[in-house]
Amino acid sequence: MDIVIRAAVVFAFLFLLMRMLGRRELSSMEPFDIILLVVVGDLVQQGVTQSDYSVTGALLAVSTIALLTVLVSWTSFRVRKLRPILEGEPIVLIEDGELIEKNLRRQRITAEEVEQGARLEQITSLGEVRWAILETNGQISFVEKQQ
Amino acid sequence: MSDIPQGIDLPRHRDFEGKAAGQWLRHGFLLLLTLFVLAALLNAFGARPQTEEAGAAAATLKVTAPERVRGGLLYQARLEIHADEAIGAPTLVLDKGWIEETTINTVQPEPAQTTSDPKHLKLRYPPLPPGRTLSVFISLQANPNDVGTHNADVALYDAGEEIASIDRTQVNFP
Repeated sequence: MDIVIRAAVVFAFLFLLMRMLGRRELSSMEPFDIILLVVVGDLVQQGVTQSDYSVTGALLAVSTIALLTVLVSWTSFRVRKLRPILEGEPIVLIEDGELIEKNLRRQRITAEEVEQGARLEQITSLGEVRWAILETNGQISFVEKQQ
Repeated sequence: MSDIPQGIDLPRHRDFEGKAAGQWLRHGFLLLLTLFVLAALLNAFGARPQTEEAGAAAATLKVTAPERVRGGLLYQARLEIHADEAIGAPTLVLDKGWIEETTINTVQPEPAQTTSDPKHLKLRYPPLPPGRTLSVFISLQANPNDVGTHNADVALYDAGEEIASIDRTQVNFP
């Protein structure tokens, strides 16, 4: 029983952490972030299974996390009002070629990061962008101005 | 026709109208995380050892051990008896909080006799002449399932007579 509780507590903590940290930290996968991800995974595993090396323990922990993931997803799908809380909301970063500084500050995103995102979309200048939106998955989507 | 992308509500997604609470919530959570880590640095979750001492005419008893431990943690307790008078059968009596759901790896030096009752573990050592100090090192590991507060008192007896005792509480974190 305790392994289910530990898995649920860790799931809840990680869920809260991911929602509160800011989505850019989660979506940008620099080499350091990948290492950090592995380290966090290892630390979490120890906390969940502790000295339980059994297959039953592993199945219980994974099942608990899978069920909670589906529960969050189902709740988000069924209860529209909870969706902004569970998944977050898009944030407008550029309107008509102009960076919205307070929104960048709020998400700790630099203008250089937005420019990098634009380059990846073959956009050479932010002046060509009508809208740039930070999506809930942490990626920036760009809508170019109509020619 | 508006060119605002579908699903985007400018007052909400650009100007954050009605979302001030969310920002405060985020700051509050980060503050909580900071406090959590600071509390750990200040030993709120163990496992820095504390020393407690109890004295009597015949002997002094000193315990150095963490009062807060976390599941799975290896830690050490040092129990010292300093005899001011001869003690014929120095016996350390440990509350069951020391041993319940705890793995005792070693006890050094090994006692001459180990007994127990439902609430205590008793370690009896050879006679201690005046002026001598006996240091007992116990290596322990907290079992991960054990969570909560336990009495972890220690008492020094000489042939059934209590000489000194220390009231201790041990908190086990998950």
